[in-house]
Amino acid sequence: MMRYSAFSLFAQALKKHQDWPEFWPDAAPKPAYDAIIVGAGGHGLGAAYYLAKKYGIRNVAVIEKGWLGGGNTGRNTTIIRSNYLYDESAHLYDHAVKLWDGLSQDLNFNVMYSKRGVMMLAHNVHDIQSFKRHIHANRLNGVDNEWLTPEQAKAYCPPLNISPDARYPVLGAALQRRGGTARHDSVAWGYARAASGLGVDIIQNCAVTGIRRGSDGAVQGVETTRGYIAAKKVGVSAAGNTSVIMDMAGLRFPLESYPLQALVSEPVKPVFPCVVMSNTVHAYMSQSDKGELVIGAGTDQYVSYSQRGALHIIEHTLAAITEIFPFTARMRMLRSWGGIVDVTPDRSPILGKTPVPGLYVNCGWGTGGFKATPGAGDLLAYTMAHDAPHRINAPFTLERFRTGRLIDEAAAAAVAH
Amino acid sequence: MAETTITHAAPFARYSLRARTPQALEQVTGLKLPRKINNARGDVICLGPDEWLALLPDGAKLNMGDGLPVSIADISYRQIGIVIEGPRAVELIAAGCPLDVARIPVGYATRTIFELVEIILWRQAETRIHIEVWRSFAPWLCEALQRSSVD
Amino acid sequence: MFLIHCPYCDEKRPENEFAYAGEAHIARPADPSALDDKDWESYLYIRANPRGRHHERWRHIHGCGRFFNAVRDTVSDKFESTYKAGEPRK
Repeated sequence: MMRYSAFSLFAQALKKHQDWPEFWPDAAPKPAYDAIIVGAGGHGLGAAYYLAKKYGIRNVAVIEKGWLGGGNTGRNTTIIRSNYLYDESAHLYDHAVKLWDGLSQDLNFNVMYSKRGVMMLAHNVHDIQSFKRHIHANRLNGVDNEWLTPEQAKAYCPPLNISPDARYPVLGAALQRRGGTARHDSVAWGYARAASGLGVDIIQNCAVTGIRRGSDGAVQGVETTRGYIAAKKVGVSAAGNTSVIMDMAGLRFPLESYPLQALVSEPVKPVFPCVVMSNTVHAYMSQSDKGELVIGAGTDQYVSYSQRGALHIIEHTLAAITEIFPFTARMRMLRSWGGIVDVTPDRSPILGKTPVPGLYVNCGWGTGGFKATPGAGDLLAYTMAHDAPHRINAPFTLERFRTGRLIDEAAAAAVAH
Repeated sequence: MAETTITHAAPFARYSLRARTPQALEQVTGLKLPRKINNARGDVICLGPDEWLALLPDGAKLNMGDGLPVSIADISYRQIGIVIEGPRAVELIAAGCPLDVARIPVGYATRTIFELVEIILWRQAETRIHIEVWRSFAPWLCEALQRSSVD
Repeated sequence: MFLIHCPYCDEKRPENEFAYAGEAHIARPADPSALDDKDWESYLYIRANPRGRHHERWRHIHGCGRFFNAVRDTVSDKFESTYKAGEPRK
């Protein structure tokens, strides 16, 4: 793997940039691996990378039914934050934020993590009380989050209208300064390149069609559209398709898959310096480095695998966006798309072992999985390497739906994020 | 071209009628109930398999059927009526209602929505549509209809 | 936006008038306290979430008000049929 640096850039410039190597080679499946990851999104590629880098398992394949980063990794709004209410969630999401810091150096690939801050607007007394509770809880967990007056919010994000006459007046805001955005494609490519450099095989256009189990019930390998591949450890990181794959192992999951849409405007000059979310008006927005305003919509109400959503959902989202940011009313929207998100009953992920020995799962991130990419990858890798969860993901078991020990973050997902 | 107008309907005595069968309600109230869902017969609209709405002259009283397996509730003040009348009445409603309003026959009446507000829409004539809306949504709905008439 | 055939109104009506109400034919246990944790979990949380034919409940909330069942393909989003509540699974 070529190491990127100012020198490599200079050397390639002399060759008129004709000689850059490909990021990673497209591998064909070998008969057997020590571990297989199902799903080449950011989470799955991250797991493969950390397995090879931190936990010493290098004979690893990542198999993907479509193309690398073509699922929810390529379909989200790239928001990063960790200001979740409960201790378990704060530790989980902040583990990811700590890994985002320094990820570009670690991968030798610019993932464009930008700590531009995530601001949540309070429009009524309930919002104020709820955000202040979050701020106090976050601080006890070592997660930065601070309260801003309307004037401070305006200073941080000048396009904000803090007039008391507004339909939804801004009474204050919670700001997580370490929150921000990253470039989603770069995250997938960076992990793929780094994992591939450590010997991981990345196999695209290879759908899992079955999970083979031995007489002891343990995983022996996976049937795929490109033949049988043996592995004693299989980690499933397949987002909206998790139920389908778990069904192959005879497991039924507490998941439902919904379409979630996002859209971007035409690119404009920098006008919007941070991420702004409003749970009350039900809208959030940021501006990408390309200049497009990135807007997340809500989920459709019904279960679907169609990777597209209904137009009236987008219509409501844009009505909300123009409500709080009237300057967007005359902008044109350029593209919209949909991904399939797997939602758990308590809106927290499932990350750990399954009842099938050798089968591990990372799913249920619902509408907000991108922010957790490095953390989820690392913890899935840890769990697979040790056959036991790390203390951070230990509470996020599948069993919690049986024992009742839920981690109810439904309020955190008031807006898809 | 004649103008299309948006006006408040005259006051009504409104009754919500619920029962498993229309006969039970007819016996109690003496009204004739339509049998087909989403249709009006005289002053009464059939909204669902067990639900009717009677729009009677202001002040009219109904036997409330105390003790019988029917539910008759006076909802006169819950909602108000809006009348849209004129050659472009259908167009005005179509601005915010996802039904194919132009193809709705005269005599058709149904619960539906206008943007996000629930309404009852009753096509009383080719060029006359009566709308029932809950009181608290009425200012917004009137404003929205006025604006769509300007558009 | 879907056009959904309401079996009570016997008409195709716009999706905006309907509320989705989850997987169909999940009966509430007659005696919840007799269930063990596994069965209770299954009733409360475990869902088929299939890729393909899905039995689901809808309510014509801004219409006739009735709950009914539907069979829909979750890949094409196409409705196969809708039928009244209480009728057997199609």
